[in-house]
Amino acid sequence: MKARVILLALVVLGISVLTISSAQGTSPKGTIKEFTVIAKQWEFDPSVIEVNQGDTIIIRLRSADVSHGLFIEGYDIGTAIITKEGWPRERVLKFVADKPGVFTFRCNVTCGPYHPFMTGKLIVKPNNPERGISLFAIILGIAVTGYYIARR
Amino acid sequence: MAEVSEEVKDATAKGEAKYFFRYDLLRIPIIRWLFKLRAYQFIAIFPNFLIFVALIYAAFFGSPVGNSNLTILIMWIVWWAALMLILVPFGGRIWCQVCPIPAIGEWLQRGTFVGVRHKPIGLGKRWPKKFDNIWLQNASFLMVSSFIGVLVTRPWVSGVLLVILVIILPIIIFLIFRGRAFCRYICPISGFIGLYSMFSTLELRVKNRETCIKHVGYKDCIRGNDKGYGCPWFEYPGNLNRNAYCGLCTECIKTCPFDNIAVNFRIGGEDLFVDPWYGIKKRGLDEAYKTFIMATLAILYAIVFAGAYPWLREVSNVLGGKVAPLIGKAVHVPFDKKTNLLIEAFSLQNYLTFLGIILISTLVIAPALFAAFAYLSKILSGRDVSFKRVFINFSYALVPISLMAWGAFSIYILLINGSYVLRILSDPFNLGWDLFGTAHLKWQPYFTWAIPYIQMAFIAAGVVFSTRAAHEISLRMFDDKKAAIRAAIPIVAAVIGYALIVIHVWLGGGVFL
Repeated sequence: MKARVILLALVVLGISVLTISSAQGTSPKGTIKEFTVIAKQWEFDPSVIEVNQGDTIIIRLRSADVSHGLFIEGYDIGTAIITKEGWPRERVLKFVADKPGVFTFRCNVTCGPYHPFMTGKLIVKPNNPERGISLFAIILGIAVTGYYIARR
Repeated sequence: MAEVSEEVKDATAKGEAKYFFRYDLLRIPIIRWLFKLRAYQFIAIFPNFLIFVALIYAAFFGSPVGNSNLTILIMWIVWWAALMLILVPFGGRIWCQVCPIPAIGEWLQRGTFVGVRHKPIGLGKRWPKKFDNIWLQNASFLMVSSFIGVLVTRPWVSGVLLVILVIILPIIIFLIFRGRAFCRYICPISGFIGLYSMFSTLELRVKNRETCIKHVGYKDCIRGNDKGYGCPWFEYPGNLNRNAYCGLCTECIKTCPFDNIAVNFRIGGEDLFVDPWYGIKKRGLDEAYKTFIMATLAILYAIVFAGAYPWLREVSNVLGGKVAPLIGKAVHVPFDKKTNLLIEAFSLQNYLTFLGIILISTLVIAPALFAAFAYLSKILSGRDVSFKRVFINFSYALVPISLMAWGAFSIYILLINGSYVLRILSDPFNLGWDLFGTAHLKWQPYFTWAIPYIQMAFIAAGVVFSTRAAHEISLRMFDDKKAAIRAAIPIVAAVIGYALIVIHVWLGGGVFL
């Protein structure tokens, strides 16, 4: 009986781990999300961008005053807009938000005294349906194991 | 030789701190030779003094752009990160040993760079007893903090601070008061170094306290002799059981006639858990408030400098002039030295707002929140211990976690802005040099993928050390173990709450509203 319970617990645990790792390993299909970000001394508007994991993100960067850039830490990608005659007034940064978490984005073109602190946040929410399933699997595993232990 | 009373013996035995490991570094011949060398302080301080002179020069004559200026990059990235990540956790007040800030004042006061002259130049007054605390250091640190936004972005502002700290204040204070009153009571940096040094792995202690107690009469370590000065930090080494006010200046190592001083590398120690031995200075609200100030600013700075609140950044910018709109035309490179310096007006409104945020958060909100937890501790303990004692003693439990919060802050600043430092080292005065081939290095953050993990390691370590501190402090405050554990629970909850806020600021984006 004891061996059966342990075996069952291990199986359920194994399924849970596999579910979680597969949820993290797959590239969830997201939607395309587009943002126009206005950079100005020394802030981004909007300063917080929220997306879901797997979304394709298009950031259109414009400047309201001097040259600015936008660099996303963790993703380590960026673009810059140089306010010179003949240079484009808008730059586009396109990427897939495949890593969940909160990432700081910051200006990467020296734009004034407060340039080093011109930051915003990219919030990439985890893919909730898959996370939910994973959580369900874990809870189910604990519940089933608990049931067998209680019966015993 | 005097007999040692039972009371003193008992106190000595009680005061024997617990260590997991302890090794006297003076057993290493080169260190022993150096620390006993009369010229050691000068040799250690002078190179740093030259660096600080270079920093003052660069502040006024280098690039006006903060992230291309030697002073800003060395002071606020390299020095700050070195203090919080290495020097203070591992060396305690080791920075104070080599610090050039008081150098001019001390050389003037002593009338010599190296030798021993016991008649000080100047008035040689005693420091007033009512200021024998760190309230002035708390005030000076808050004053500096209120300008932090412009200090870390405008080189000339950092230059002014350096001139005040390295030249003006030390000369005045050292010529009025004896010893290192400036370091012990005024220096804004010394205050937090002293607090966090109690958690460090380095300590100066006497080898055998009974030797000190039996040595009655002339105390060489207090009054000095032909080999050195009496303790310039006004400490009696025989009473040292906390690092807080020992500047590791090595004078007592030189003057002790019994060779009774040890400089221990340690793991463990009880500085945070105990009252000072027999000293005039007791644990007090001044030190407790220093803890709240540091713990709060570790969060506030993270939100200001890396958060998503532009308005907060705006008010921290007390020289609020935005370059382009003010000069009335589009500016592509807004660093014309003249215009940049001329058009930035002091914004009183910004200053008062930011000062208000700092003062209210550090001196009102944080202590009030902690008081609630401390009150709960007192209630849960079921013992008749004064609330003030519970509040003050438990505040030391926040020391490890707040130091780790500063570690999380400093590692972020270092890895994100480190490439600026590599660039400036090749051309420190913006003269077109390329000493190390890095002058044209573009800005590049390092290991951004690893930063959150490193930060979390800091916070996890902070929770562990602070929890231990809360338990140990409680055990010393209450008469039985059960009461001590009950009383420690709310404090551990406060520690965890603080850790969750720090985690949210860094990993959760710090978006509270």
